[in-house]
Amino acid sequence: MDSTIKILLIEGNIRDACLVDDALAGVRGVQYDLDRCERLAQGVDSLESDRYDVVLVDLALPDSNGLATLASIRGAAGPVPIIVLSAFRDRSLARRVVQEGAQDYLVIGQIDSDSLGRAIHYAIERKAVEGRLVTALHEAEEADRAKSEFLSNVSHEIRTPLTSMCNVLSNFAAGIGGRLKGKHEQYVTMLDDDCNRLRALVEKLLNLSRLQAGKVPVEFGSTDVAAVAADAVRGVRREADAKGVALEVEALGHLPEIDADGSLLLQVFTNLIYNAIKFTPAGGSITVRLQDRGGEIYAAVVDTGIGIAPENLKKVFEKFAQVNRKKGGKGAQGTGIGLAICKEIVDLHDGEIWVESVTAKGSTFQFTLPKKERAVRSEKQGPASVEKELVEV
Amino acid sequence: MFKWLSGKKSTPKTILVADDEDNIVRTIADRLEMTGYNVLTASDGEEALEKALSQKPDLILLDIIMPRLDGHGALEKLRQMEATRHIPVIMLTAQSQADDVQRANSAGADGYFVKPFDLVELLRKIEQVLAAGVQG
Repeated sequence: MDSTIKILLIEGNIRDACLVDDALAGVRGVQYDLDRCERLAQGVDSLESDRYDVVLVDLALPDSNGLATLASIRGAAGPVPIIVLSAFRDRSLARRVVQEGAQDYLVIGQIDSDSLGRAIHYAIERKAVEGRLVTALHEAEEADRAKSEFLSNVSHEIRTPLTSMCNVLSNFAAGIGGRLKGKHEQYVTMLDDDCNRLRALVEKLLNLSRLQAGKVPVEFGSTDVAAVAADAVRGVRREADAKGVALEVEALGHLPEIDADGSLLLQVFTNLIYNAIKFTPAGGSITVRLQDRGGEIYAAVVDTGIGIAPENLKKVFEKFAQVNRKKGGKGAQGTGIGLAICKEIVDLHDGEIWVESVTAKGSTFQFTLPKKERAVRSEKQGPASVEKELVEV
Repeated sequence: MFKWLSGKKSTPKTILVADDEDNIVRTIADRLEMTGYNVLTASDGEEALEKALSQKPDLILLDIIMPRLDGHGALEKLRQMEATRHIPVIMLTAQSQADDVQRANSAGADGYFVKPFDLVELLRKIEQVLAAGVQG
């Protein structure tokens, strides 16, 4: 640091102020410009009207004391680093002061030119680094939020034209404008399929952005995972039959009920099984395997499909990361949103989700659900959950 | 355009469709007319209020995001006025946030459809709401 460092010293005790002044005078190679005031109110005023490189503050002032002093100074100092001066050597206070946003804690009796000069230098550097990190974090959060918002806006905007398209098709089907024949009927059926796909896509996108924004109310409750898996299988049975893929559930032993959100888990099973159907050729098979592993329930969706290349295994749970599973195969489309939704939901349950796969042999998507009692439950659970929360804390 | 009147409806019911998207209004109106309803249309909340007051429809389909006065505002006013407070209202919206549904319900909406909806389901709901009104 070669230019002058501007310091604000807030110190009620004149002798301590002189000690600091003397110590600063002895620091070689640095110019200090020291302003001093005695009271907190003056200190706050000075910070608001002038620009300083660092603030040295004694927490015991005529008009304020202790951590309250630090809080006021922090509020006024903004990006200016703060060094707390104290008459006492108090380790727990020192730690507390740093946790509350000061850069350092110095005991006045132990100050010398070397230590004070170094403390000031480091405080300024640390604060600058912290500032850059905070800015970067804010920018990242802001970008992520803007992206989610954009996604949600676009999805809403897509709904409007989609509505009139769906209405038109529905009106055709109802016979408005006369009966459709031959190619026209075929075309309308094609349009209808694509409208439904678009509609499902918009729903998924909104669903994912709501999950990520924490806007989906999660309702934990006693849940029979095997029954949920069976429900999911029932829901996609027709697709499996149509494609000629065998589909069965295999539960190893009896599964206890666990604390989970059944409707969210249904989405996980449905997405995974639906994916498996998409990527498994006719004649293949899909097995949903469930197992009680003591502390957790293990679930797997095993297919004999085309598999995933090793380099893509990690990517599949990322949003929009539909890796090229088809590789010249027939157009098995997907957006890669379904798996991102699965991951969000399993994360909400504090579980893990991963995939193992062998190209051309098949994939196994698997996840675990810990069997834990949840401290935070939906509001309707009543006072019992409050007690539990207290116990766990 | 001719209408298919189902046997049980002696006098056709009138439905007001309020949405600022012309294509949506027209496609719904066509279907309603084909089903045997009389249809009125409005392209914003104010117009919907005027037509509700002057023509006393039997049911209103109300979009939420509209210029001048939005669907929430229109519903509140409909419920405040003596002449319109009994008219059943079904909300149509591109939003599906839980608080939006709640707001519409507590303001006295009789139904809520998220776009894009299934016209057949909408027709079923309309029939149901109208039938409930006759009984009550």
